[in-house]
Amino acid sequence: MMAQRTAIDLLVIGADAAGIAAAACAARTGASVALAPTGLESPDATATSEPPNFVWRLLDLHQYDLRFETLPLRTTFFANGAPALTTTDDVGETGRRLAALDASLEHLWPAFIDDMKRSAPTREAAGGLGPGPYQSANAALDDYFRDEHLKTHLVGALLAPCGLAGDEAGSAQALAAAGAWPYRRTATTPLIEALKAAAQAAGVDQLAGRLAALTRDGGKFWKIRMEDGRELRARGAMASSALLAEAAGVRVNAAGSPLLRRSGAEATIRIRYDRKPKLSAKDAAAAYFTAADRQAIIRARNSMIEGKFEEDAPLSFEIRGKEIIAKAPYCPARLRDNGEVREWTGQDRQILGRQAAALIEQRLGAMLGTPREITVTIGPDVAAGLARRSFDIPPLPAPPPSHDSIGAASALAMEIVRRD
Amino acid sequence: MTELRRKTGPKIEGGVDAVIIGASVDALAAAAILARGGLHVVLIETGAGRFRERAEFAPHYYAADGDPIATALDQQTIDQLDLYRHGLAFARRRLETFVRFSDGAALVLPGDPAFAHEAIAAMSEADADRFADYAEAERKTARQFAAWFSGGAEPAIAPDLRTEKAAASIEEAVTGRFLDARIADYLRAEAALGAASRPSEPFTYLALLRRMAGDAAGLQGAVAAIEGGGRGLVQALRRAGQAAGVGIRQTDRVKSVIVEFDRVAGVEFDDGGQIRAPIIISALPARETFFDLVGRARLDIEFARVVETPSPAIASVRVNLAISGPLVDPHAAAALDRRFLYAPAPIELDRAFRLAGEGVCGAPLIAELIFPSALEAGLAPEGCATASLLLHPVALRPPGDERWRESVDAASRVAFGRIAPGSASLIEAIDIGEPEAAAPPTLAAIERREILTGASGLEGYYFCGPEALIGGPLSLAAGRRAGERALAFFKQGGFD
Amino acid sequence: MHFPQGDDDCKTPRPTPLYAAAASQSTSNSWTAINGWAAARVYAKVEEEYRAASEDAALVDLGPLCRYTVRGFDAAKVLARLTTTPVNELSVAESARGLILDAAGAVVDFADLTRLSGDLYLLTTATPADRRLDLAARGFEASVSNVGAEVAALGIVGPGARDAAAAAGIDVLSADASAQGRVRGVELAIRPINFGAAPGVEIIYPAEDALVIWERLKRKRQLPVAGIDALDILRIEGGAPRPGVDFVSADRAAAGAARMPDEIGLPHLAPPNRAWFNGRRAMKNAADPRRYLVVLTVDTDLAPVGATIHARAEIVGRVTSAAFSPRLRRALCFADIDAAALDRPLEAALPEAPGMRLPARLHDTAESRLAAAFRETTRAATESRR
Repeated sequence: MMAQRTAIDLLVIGADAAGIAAAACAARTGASVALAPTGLESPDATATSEPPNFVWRLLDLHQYDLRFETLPLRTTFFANGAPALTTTDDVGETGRRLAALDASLEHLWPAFIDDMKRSAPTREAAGGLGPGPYQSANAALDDYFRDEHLKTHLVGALLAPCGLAGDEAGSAQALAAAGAWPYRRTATTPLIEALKAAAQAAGVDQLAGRLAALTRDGGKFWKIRMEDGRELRARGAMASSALLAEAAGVRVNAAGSPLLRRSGAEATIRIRYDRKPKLSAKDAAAAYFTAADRQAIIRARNSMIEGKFEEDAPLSFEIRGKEIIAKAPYCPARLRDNGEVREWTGQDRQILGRQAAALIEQRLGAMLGTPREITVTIGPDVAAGLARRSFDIPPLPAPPPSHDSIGAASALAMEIVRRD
Repeated sequence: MTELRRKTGPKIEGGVDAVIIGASVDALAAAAILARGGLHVVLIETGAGRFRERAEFAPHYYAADGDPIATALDQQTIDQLDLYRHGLAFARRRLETFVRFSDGAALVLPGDPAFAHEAIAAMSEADADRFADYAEAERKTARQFAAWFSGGAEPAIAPDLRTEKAAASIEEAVTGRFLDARIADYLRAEAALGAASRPSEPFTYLALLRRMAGDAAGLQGAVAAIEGGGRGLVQALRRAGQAAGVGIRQTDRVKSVIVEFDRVAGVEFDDGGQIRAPIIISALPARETFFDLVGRARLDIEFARVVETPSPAIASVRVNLAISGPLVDPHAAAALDRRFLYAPAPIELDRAFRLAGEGVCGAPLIAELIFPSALEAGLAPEGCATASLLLHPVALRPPGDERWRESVDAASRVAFGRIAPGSASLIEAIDIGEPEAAAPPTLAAIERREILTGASGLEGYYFCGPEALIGGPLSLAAGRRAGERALAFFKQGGFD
Repeated sequence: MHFPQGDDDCKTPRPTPLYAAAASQSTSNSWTAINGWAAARVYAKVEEEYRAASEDAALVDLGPLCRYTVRGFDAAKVLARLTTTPVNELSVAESARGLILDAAGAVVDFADLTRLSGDLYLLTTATPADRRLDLAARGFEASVSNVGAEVAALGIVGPGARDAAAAAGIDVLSADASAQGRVRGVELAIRPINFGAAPGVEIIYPAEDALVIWERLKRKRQLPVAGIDALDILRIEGGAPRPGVDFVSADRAAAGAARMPDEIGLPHLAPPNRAWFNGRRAMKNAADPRRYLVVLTVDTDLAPVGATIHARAEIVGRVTSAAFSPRLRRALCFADIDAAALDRPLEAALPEAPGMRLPARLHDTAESRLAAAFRETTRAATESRR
């Protein structure tokens, strides 16, 4: 146990997989690190993408028994019977598939992925060939492609999971994820167990309970108080995820990334069927998306801001055995009827669940069995956190939300420790 | 490219040092600065953008072109060109701002923003100190950024401060900061007026700092009314230019800019006539300046891509109203020589942005209202008034679109009724102007300006068109910067 | 033009139209992927392939290079802007080589251009240029299509290349003119090329007839097929840098890694007095080169891959690619060195023997002679103007 008056090097707020990994990585480089849960960590995260190599090496994750599954396909189902569109982890092969839509895509797709891979859009890029850092994703996509379905697919698969709709200034940055799409993932629970063990081994002080207050001490130190009264001072601090910290009422700064602004919540819908869907193993190893078009995505996002859930709002879903786990990214955190704001009721959840099940059935059709049980959970409400955060302390650094959240958080943690 | 081969053909004029194309205030400022520097300058006023005499938009009601008020006027240009001596004057130097909120409450902010404490205290005692501290801190940041906004180099400030301020959204910066949410509504309206992004999007906070950094009548953050409105400024600039020897020509169109060996060499007209000059400054929009006058084939591919960036689908529109009697609401009617602002509630504002994005014009919108007749005599019949209303955000539509006109008409009435309750029935006529594309996020606009003023490396070509302005017209800084750079180029003799 | 660096992360290289024919010649089964296409590094023995290509003639599958047709009223305008080739001076059937530069004047890629007919041009680049072409053609009346998969590109490299082609009934008229003709019912475009030090011809024809012409050439004379490793020796001898290896394309370069034409020893391919092209103004206004890419000889039997170049105690550069030249019986290498060190005596330190220094001398290649002559005339022109 640390003495009250001494300050540690880094405090990581948020004990999700990204937070634990970030704390462990920083501790491995020799820093004294504490990890504080916010109490809002999602308990039902089912799968997390594979940790990147540098995290794997630092934490020696080969010591733990982690199994990965590969999801090489990303498929979007469109409305009105338009054929589904699939992109895969094989760039050349995807280009040849897409050539059926538009012959030039065979070569423009690899060029696009290459541009995205090289870097997130940088300051210099505005005078170059790639998207500028302040551009909207829709403007950037219009600059690359003509095919509307492909553009819808990319917005639905890359931006929607972050709560963006593609028309926001700076959202072009989120397209960079197309170049670093993690195609392998593992069940979250064993991964978190492994990361916790690695954090333990690295000497991370894993605090119990939840964060009660974050303040500044003498303009130089961060100071936290946990609910059990324990206090700690730290030279550096960070949030494991921008959304988690904002939901907990902490003001964050994600280096100009537009991804963290979120006026809604993400709903998770688990649908259990009476049998496994009749899909080939290859088709089951895909991340699925439903979307109508880019206008509909923007409409769904707008409805979310207004406190409503659009009927044809885009969904993402995966198939796990008899279960389908769907996520609705544009879900209002609280509902608004005739100007009245109210919390989600069991009935609202049921309606949302049935809507999602109907939408999936419409797209997958006869392959599915009969739904037996539908459970809906609404994620943390960021807007509530936004309203009660403190302006007396500087914003807390957070990684830009990413499809590789572990990598982004760990890189930030090591950067902070190195800087001090 | 046109060569000098036609010896007997149309007229080719020489002996000119610089040609300025355009009729904007920036074009006039650039021309006057070069002429004062001793150059032989010809200003070509093309048809579009030329300021007209005041027009009768309804029987006995008159309106002038351009903005009736200024929030940013470049002090250096005023000093360099001695504009006060050439007739620049202010009808009101520091206009009060009368803010109306969605719940009907009103807030009157003094002309000097530094003295807002009392006004805020009248509305929310607890927020007065908080607002004063906040405004003071942000004004300090704004001062650091001021030169950057007006075309100078980026200030060397702590990178954390830059990331925090430049990347923040208005929403993020003001939500939850004050006990009375209406204060945040006011700041949000000031920042979102004229911006293409909704308040919750990143990079939008900078627009508020831009507004605070603006200098009008020698006071940062103030609003001033120029005597004669935008036309008054144009006249002062023209007089300053003529006194320095600027030759002004009027023509409908310049056909092209002559480029020889990577340098501009003059302009050509439709009849084949030419004016040869080693310096050309264009104040036309970037597309015309570069694609129409020079041609893509001579521009870098990367540069052309920036010129081509589509403008946002969001716009502002200026509407002239004929008001046939005194306002009903005593609060608003107390004085008309003020700036009135309607600050919508967050949900109203968000809906307005959403509808504008879908091509419709909603209501209520952010509205800035000025009564030009209260600042200048002879614009309206006795006992009546003219009002100039700036609405934002509306859809960017061709003005011929009937549905759009109807919705703007309706929105104007709603806005006027909100600012001056009970007075909407006094509106006798509505004259809807052309929608003007909203500004992209300030950082993107600054970056675009840096690239465009580089003119793809064409020597002697300078740009001060609308894309060179950051946040609001009437600043003159773009014209001054273009003029100064051209002058430096001329003095170093780089062209012969 | 030479093949660019291979792409390691390509999962499924595609067979080129000539793959079936080429694969049957491969005994070493040593393949790599270039621009997503399968390409042979070695077919049988590097030495024999090199000897055939430098003394007689050898076949080469040029399929992995990128090919585009640009067609339309403004085709010449688009290409004149995109590339540094003298497009406007090309008569029908003529070819020219040049570079593609970015707006800062740094080298992106090589560009070979052939005018096939009035407003139809064939553009060959080492690395894909689809995005750049797409942007360059915006606002112009020109259509661009990537024809890489639709044509077979068969190269014959070596002093005997023309004779070999003629023996198969394929005539190459002159040193710069391409020809179009028909051999056994197959429509052909033939154009002269240079592969580093070796002259050659390139035959381009529809992919579906890939094997017809190949077989015909093989039948008339038993020509061996040369792989990338053998060609790599030839191109270093000729002084042709390899994209991605000897320099990095400006589109992918990290800060400070982009190179101007003069810095990679190819100033003659982007003469600033040519009609305007992308990046020319920036190139003209650029500061003097700080580094040069040069060919050095090192007296050793091993290719000094990974060696550092020293001027006395100071490290002034590094070897970017190297090969043992059977003709010179010494090692040849491309090295990126400080401009200031050019006049100083240079030494190479091999990674195998870090303590030992071997003298490294500047070597004249066909390309460096062109560059030197070009620099000389530019200097003379500047001085006479003064």
